[in-house]
Formats: sequence, C-alpha cells, structure tokens
Amino acid sequence: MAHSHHSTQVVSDGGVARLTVLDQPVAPEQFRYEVPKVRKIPFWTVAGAVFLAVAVGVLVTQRGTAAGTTLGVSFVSIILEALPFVILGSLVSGIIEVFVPKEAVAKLLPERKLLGILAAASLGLLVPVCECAVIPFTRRLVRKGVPFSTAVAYLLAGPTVNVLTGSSTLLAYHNPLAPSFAWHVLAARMGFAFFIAVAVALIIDRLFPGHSALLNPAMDGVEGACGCGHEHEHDHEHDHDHEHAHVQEHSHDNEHHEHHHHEHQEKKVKQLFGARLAEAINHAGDDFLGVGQFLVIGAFVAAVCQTIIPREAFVAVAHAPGVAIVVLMGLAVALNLCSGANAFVAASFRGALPLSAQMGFMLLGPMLDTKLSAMYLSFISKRAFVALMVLVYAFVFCSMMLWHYFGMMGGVR
Amino acid sequence: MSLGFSASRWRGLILFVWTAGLALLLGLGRYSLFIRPTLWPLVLCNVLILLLFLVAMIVRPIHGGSRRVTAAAWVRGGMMLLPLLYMSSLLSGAAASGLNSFALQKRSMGLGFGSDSQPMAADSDTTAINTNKPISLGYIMRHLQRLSGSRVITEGRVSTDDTLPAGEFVVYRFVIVCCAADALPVEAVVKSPKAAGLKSDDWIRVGGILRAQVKDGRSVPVIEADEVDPIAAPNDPYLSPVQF
Repeated sequence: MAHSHHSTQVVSDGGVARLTVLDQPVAPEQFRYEVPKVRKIPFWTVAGAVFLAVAVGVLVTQRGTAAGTTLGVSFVSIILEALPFVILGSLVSGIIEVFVPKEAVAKLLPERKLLGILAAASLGLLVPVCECAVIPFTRRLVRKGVPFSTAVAYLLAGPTVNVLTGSSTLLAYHNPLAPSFAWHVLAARMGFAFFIAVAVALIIDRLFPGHSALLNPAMDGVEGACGCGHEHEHDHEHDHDHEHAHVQEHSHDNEHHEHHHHEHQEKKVKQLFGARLAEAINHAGDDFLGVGQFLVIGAFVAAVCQTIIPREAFVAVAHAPGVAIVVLMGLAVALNLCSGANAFVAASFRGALPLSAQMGFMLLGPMLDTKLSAMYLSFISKRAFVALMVLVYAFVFCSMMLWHYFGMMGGVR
Repeated sequence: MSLGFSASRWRGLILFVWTAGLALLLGLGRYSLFIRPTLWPLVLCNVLILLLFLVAMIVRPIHGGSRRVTAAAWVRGGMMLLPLLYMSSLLSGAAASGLNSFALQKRSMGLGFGSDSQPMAADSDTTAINTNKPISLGYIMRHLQRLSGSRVITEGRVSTDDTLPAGEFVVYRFVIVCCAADALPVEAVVKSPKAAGLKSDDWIRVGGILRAQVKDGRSVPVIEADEVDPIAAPNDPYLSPVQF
C-alpha cells in the first residue's frame, strides 16, 4: 500500500515503513520506525462467540422442556450420525497427505478433463461414502492436484450415486403390497444426481479454472499443503519444533491459527514409517477439528429447523408442482438428513406431494444442505460457494420441473 | 489474544473430552437415544480413532503446539464441545426418553396411512399375531386392514390432543433409519375411559380391539382399549424399520 503526500511518501514493506522526503530517499538505517501491529478480534471469531453464547443460552433456558429436548436430540443425533464419516474421512485425508505423493495422484487422473469429471461422478459406485466423509478427503485431494471441477463432480454425485444410497431408496419406496421394487425411483435418483453433478462440474470448470475456487489458491500445487482451507499470512515465526517445519499464522478471516507445513519430499525418505504414520494421524486430528466446527454450526441450524418447522405446514402450502419442488428443496437444506436415510423421509410425502418434489428433496440434501454448506466454506471461497449453490439449486429445480411436466410418463407419483 | 493455555493442550483436551464422552455414551448404552442401536459399532469406531488421534498427538506433538491459545481457537474449541454439552443434558430426566409429543406435532404428516391417490391394497401377509404379546405400532399401521377387528397389544407414548374428542388420545412411537433426525412418527388413536388421567409423553401399554377408520381418505388405526397401563420407558425409545 502506498500513501502519497506532497513532500513525503510512506511505503509500507511488511511491518516496516520506508520514508522519502522531498523525493530524496532516506536510508532505512537513518530513519526507520515500526508500524504498530493492531490485533483486532476477527469478525468470524466474534460471530462464532455469539453463536456459542446463543447455543449455550438455548441449552440453559430450554433444558428439560419438550422443545429443548427435541432440539437437543436432533442436534446431537445429526452430529453422532455424521461423526464416524467425518472422522474416517479425516483419517483417509491424513494418510493421503503424508503417504500419497502428488505425482501419484496426477498419474491416476485421466488426461482429458471431461473423462476425469465423468469418472469422479461415478466414483461413489466404488467408494460408497456419505456426504460427510467426502469433504475432508476431497479437499485434501484437491490440494494434491486434483482439479476442483473434478472434485465437485465427486462431491455432488458421490453421496448419491452409490450402492448404499441406492439400496435405501429402493427400501424406502418399496411397497410390500406392490409386485416389484420402485426401480423407476432408483433410476431417476441416480441418473439425475449423475447428470447434475457432471453439468455443474463442467460449468464450475469454466467459471473457476485451476484452483481459483479455493480459499487459498496460492497453495495450488504445493506438495504437502495442509489443505486446512485457511489463507496463510506468510509472516513465518520460526520457532521450529523440529527440522524443516515452520509455524505460520493463518489469516482465515484473520484468525491466527497455528499450523505447520512439511517438506514431505525431503523427509519421506528419512522418516521412519511409524513417525510418518503418527504425522498422518496428527493431520487427521487437525482435519477433524478443522471441519468439525463447521459441522457443529450446520447441525445446530438444522436442529433448530427440525424443531420449529411443522412438516404438515409444508404440504399445506405446496399446491402447485413448482411450489412443492421448491418447498421440499428448502426442507432438504434445512433438515440435513444423511443420503442413506433421506429417502425414507422423502417417501413419507408420498400421496401428499408429487414424486418430482420428493426427488428434489432426495437430490439436493446430499449435495448442499446446511451442514455441507458450512463445511464447503472451510475450503472454498465465498464467491465459488455462491456460484456452486446457485448452480446446484437451479439444476435441481429445473430438472425436476422438466421431469414433472415432460418425463413422468404413465403418471408416476 | 491468548488466554494462558497452550494450543497443544487445548486440542488434546477437546479430543480427550470427545473420546471420554463417546466412551461413556457407549458404556451406558445411551447411544440409542440418538442413533439406531445397531449402529453402535460406529460409535466404538469413533472412540478408537479419536483415541488414536490423542495418542498420536502425545507421541509426536504438533509443531507450535506450545504457543498460547488464541481467542479464535477458544471459540472453535467451544463449538467442538457444544454437542457434548447438549448430550450430557439429555441423559437423565424426561429428556432421556428421546423425541416427544412436541416432535410428534412437528413431524407428523397427519394421522393414518394411505390416501385417495395411494389406497391401501390387500395384505398378502397372513402371519398370525399373538394377542397376548405387544406388537409394534409400525406393524399395526402396516397391516391395519388385516388386523382390523383383532385384539392387539402395543406400547408407546401418549399424546393428548385438544382436537380429539373427550375419552380419546394418541399413542405414538418414532421409527428411525439412522438417527433421531430422520425419525418418522407412527401413531394410533386410542379410545379409553382412562384418557383423562394421562398426560403427554407417558409410556403406556394399550390393549384392545383394533379398527380401521377412514378419515379424509386416510385409514386411521383406532384402538378401542380395554386396558391402558403405565410402563417404564424402554431402553431403546425408537423403532427400527425392521420392526415397522
């Protein structure tokens, strides 16, 4: 930043300012002063503290009441259901960080981006995980060089296009009094999820080339980048705990978050397997704590929605198909159900709302509900997140409207 | 801003409290308040992996872990501990029975099963039921047509509703697939002279003749009760789809 004046000019250089007087530069040793560092409490820390105070306040005031119990049970349930997958995802992420070199990831990727996106959207068939597990280890893969658009295809399709979700959909829509399973529901769910994931990934690839969607695009391609998703302020503080490590102040929302980066290329030969394993697990622990806070925020908001929104009221307002689709999409975002379970809730709307609205509910939830939105914000920029959100919502809505009016031949309901 | 606690200890404390909290939940068997009981191996898996995180942190301390905790780290840590705070408040008292009549009001899609667009078909299941043993409310709803006219015994919680006529109340349970967040209610109307003496969320056993009454195009299970007895809250407050 430069601040000009008639006769003097102050140019900041990190924390040190250089001064010129009447266009005559003054040697730094002659005139030098320190710009005082003003440490403000960052906005997100204040917001987090307010959230925490509200959540604790609700607990204290509502403890033992029927509403308080419903809120608490819903909140803890969402956390406990998601936790195994977040922890496992973090563990895989830590192992990838330490044991999988960037070159190996690059070798696995198809040369053509479209092929990569198609493969990523189908990956859930081989690795059946729910939406909570994909984020920690996908963000690590992105840091290892996987294009963001390819990651988006997996993030959106993976939780739905897999055997477990397919089975639960069939089970939820199975009428024991009917002669066969509801294969059309399964096919529609898998097909639409795949199509939407690929389409959104291709558009994201155009809008955010390379790793420009990430919170810290400068880390693109850095071997061993931590993937914490925080912007790094490179005022290194060299209080090394061991060789080749340095501590940085993270400035994600100006939060001064300690972290470390490793020169894995140099170290991996030297280090013992056990030490590297411990390092991988430490990374996993950090990832768990990093993603966990966003999961908590999303789960709490979802629990509040579960507590205050009467589902029957949704049915009452959703007369037109378009309204019904929007209403159930909104409900999917608010309820935060697991991809393995949301088909059962969707199926509870049978007879009351059209299948297109139920399908919108099943498609959108595992792609971008409240807790996932919070977790996405842990590693992609707000601009990229808004683009992703608009694209996903638009594609789900338009697909369901088209399906409702042109696709549901034979009056599928 | 630091508040006199090292980053490493703070992280370790969070991991320790999580590990201990989940181990306690597992040991007490109270996980069924939140998740489907058959998913207990996942809770065990959580405990073991968190323990691994903790051990790795001790064996190979993180770099810079000796530095002071920042205000942001305190807040983030507080957020991580929030679910455990809520969990501890739910393990005793009335809350220990899980989702209640308040949740029923929010999640119910209306009494009954089937609709004009999805009429109930004939039931091919001819399994005889034991009229002396309780059957689940889910089973009653699913096989309402076949069981109509039979004597049934079932267990659930009471929901008193001002919209119901005097002498009637609703008995309900929740069916969960994975966790209480996806819980869906199954419910039946009970006609009994004891209705006035009951209060919402009591656990009861109901025995009586089951009838299928059609209201607004939906088949509603109605039990004309000859016995309504209070029971202790079961360990597993929810039904699973298998019991449905």
